[in-house]
Amino acid sequence: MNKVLILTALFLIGTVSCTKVIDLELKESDSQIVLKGEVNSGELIHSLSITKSVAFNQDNVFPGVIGATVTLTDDQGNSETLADLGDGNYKTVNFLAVVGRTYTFKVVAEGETFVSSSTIPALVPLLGIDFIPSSFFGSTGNIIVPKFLDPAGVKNSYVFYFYNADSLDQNSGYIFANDDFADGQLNQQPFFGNWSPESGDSVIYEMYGIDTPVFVYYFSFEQNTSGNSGAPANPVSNWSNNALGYFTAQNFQSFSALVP
Amino acid sequence: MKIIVYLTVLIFITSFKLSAQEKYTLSGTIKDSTTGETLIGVKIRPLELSGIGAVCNEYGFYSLTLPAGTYTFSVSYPTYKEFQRKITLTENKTLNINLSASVQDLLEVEVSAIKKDGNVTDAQMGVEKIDMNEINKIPVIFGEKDIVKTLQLLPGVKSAGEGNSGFFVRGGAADQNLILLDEAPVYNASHLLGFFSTFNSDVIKTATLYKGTQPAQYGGRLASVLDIKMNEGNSKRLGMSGGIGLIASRLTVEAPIVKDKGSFLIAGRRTYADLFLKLSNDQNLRDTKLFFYDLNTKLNYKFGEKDRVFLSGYFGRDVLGLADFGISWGNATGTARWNHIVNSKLFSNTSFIVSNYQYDISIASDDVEINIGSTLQDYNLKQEFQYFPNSRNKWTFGLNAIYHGVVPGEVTGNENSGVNNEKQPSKLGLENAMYVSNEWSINEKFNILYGLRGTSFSVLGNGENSFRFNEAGEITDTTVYSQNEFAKTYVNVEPRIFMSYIYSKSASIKGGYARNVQNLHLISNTVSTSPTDVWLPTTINVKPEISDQVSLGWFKNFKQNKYEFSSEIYYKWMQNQIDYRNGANTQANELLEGELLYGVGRAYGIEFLLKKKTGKFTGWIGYTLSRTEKKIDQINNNEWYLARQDRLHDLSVVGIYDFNKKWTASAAFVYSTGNAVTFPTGKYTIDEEVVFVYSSRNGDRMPDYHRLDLALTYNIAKRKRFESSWSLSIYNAYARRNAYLIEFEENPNDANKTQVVQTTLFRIVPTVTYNFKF
Repeated sequence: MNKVLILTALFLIGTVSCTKVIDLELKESDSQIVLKGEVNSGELIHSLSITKSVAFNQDNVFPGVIGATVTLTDDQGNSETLADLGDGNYKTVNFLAVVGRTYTFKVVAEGETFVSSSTIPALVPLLGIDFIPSSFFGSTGNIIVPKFLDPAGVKNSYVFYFYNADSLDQNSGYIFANDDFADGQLNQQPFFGNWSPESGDSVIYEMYGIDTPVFVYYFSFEQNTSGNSGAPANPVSNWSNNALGYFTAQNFQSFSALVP
Repeated sequence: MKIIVYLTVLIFITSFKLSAQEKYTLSGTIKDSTTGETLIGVKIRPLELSGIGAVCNEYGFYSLTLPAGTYTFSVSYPTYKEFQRKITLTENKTLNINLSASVQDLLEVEVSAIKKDGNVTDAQMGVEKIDMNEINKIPVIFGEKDIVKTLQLLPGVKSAGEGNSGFFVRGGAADQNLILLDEAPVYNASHLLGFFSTFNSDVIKTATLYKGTQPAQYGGRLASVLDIKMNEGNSKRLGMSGGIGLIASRLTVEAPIVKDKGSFLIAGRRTYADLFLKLSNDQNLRDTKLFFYDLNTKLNYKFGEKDRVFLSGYFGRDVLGLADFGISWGNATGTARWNHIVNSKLFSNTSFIVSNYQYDISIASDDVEINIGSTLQDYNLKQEFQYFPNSRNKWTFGLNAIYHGVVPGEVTGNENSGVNNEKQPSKLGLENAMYVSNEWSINEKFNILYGLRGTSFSVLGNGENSFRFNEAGEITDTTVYSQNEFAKTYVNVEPRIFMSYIYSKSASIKGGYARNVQNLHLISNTVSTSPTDVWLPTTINVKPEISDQVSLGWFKNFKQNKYEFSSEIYYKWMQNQIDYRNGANTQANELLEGELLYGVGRAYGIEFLLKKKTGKFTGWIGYTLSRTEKKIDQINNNEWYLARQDRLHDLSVVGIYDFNKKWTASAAFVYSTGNAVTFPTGKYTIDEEVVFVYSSRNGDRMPDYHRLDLALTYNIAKRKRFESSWSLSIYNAYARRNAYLIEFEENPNDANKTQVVQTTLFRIVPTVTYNFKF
């Protein structure tokens, strides 16, 4: 944000900054375990992936970790050991996720144990979406406002994701928000993503309810990777034992509409 | 209470040093005869007694007590004719002096020497006085002359970044500088996201920087005090001056209200890049707003010989707007002062100061309107006395009370916005200070400046929940203190002592110690300070920051004070330093204090300055070797790490050459080690994105920074009273690609690779500026 302001200011006062790809010698840290777990309400199949970090100058090939023992439990005493798919991905077969329950992953990989818990928040119904035509610096598109009533007196965090049903590459990316300024309000805010649909596009709008530690993960992820951070650091993970990544147990709903 | 007793005793000791011989006092004010401006720091001395004299205070007042007798009083001040008068002192006398400008050729005029050897003899150390004449000649980006950018060229002072008017003093953070404009603190001293300082140098009379070594009358920040005084306004006739530059234009008008009794000054500065945007075909560009302005005003009036009243004000604003989004921020300060000459030995000044900083973000589209803002407001009452018991002592003592009110965040929205109106509870505090300081010239060889400042900070209730937090940032206790109820009081004693030992005619050794306490904290976690950074006063959780600095220096002048050399070595310990927790939400967060981490800091270094002050060629070489480290709980495994502003080497070379009355050329070269920063040490993938791994904070370095700036000034021959000049300046003359940002990203041509991209802000920036004065 700050950088955008500075660069805009400079552009306007007629000075052009320039960029250049440089060679920079970087220190290397030991390869670290990265865990991403996802449990969605109403579903039976949930997944967890285990990969490892590599050095900056290597190719973007991230090895999956196989042979780990991964178990998923809930606060009602249910438990299942995930199947190892052999590429670093692990899946449940039949484990029903229910709103309000707390889920715990336990991962034993390469001799180390990692644990994380997350709770599926109560569902906030998505009532529909509104399209507002807009233009910004010459490009036209539509801003989407999801309609939902935020429950008053509870801390709610959300993730939104929308995409073109005919072209999955045209998507918003993950957008996260919480109700810090809008507790108990009928939502009026547009949530801006990387894509703005045009008239005639078929839009699928997804809304997830997440718990606070997952929100903190998303928030710190954005803060630390924006390029303008004074002291970039790894996002705040909800995994034990310094693992990178996060685990979210979340509710999910979607709405599709044609842009008028 | 003990302090008062101690001080009283001290005052008596020096006052009782009365000798049998009768003594009388000569006192008065020294002014410029053409403009009526009082002159600061001018020395008056009797030629018959060596090593004795008095220096004008910040209001041009002096007081000199001598044994009865006949003396020839002499006043000499650069660019003015020497004044001499024989006076027989058999009773207390008043002598107001008007100094007239020298008719000497410009080339013979001495630049910058106020008291030629003051740098060697005075006990004060770690101080830099900015010469307003030099500022006009030093090359600067966009031709906007700037006192802060001139300061950055001095040892111990570092620029906060490319083209940035923020600065770091002796390892301190940017918020550890107290910037005073006519005694009023200016909380965000920069415009346009840091590229310009808020000070219009046309209206500045003096600027003095104390590098943590400030005498006891100053307090409130750890690293430095930058004390800026505005001109009073011409009390003889109407005068105007101004300039037209690439970025901004300036105009100053000053005139007497009643000749020789009172005058006023009003100065404005505004940028105009946005006016050109109005010509654009693009609706969005036409709607874009981008400007800043400053308004300085001052008014003074003399009621009789003993009383004078000053009103001064500053108002500045930045406005940046893009389509539906707008942000504006700025400072406003006001100072009302009353000078009273109680008697020939006692001078009193009473000040009432209001200082305000606020920002406002507005988002408006169709029928939705949301505003987010924050405000900081101070009310400050100050009473100071200056007492001149004899020719070897000057006492300064006083009281100060400041009421701080900070609204950290406020959100308002109209009914369609879907936003709850929310005003975060104000953070309130009462800061009191009591101080005494004595400048004592013990004999020809020893000078001492010592003092004591007692400060208290009371955290006041606001009628809302006050939270206490544990180490993990979780709430452990909730208490409600009623409005202005004393929730907690912190008391600190700050001793300051500096000594000089003059071991030869033009050389001295100085040593000193100072403790400083800071009760307002600004913690920024972005690269450049942002207008939306929140100032947080000391609270029940946040303790006052404390620093202790020892320094030792060697001062030597060569060739009749033509060359000055000085070297100072310092070591500074800092306690209760503040940082943010990783992933902290700093915007409008009611539980912000739970996001803070605390620790200690240390900074040490050695500074060298060689300066040539007179002749056709003037300039200086400054070099600093220094280290700044922090140790914050839960950061970097609780180990010491380098502060961001740690730069091992910092070099500035400035040269100014006056060819003749018409032409002046100047050059400035700077070199410094890059900032300590955090670069990735690996990468991983999550959510189909490549993300970087970070290991230890500030474990890496930006590339070295260096740059050469050049300027050429042509002074058009003076016609009657009208003076004007053209200046051409070139910033970054050899187009060095200095790194402003280094970013890590996916290679756009090969999704399988990552790359490092460096952003350079300014390559070559030439500018032409026209200045005038009549």
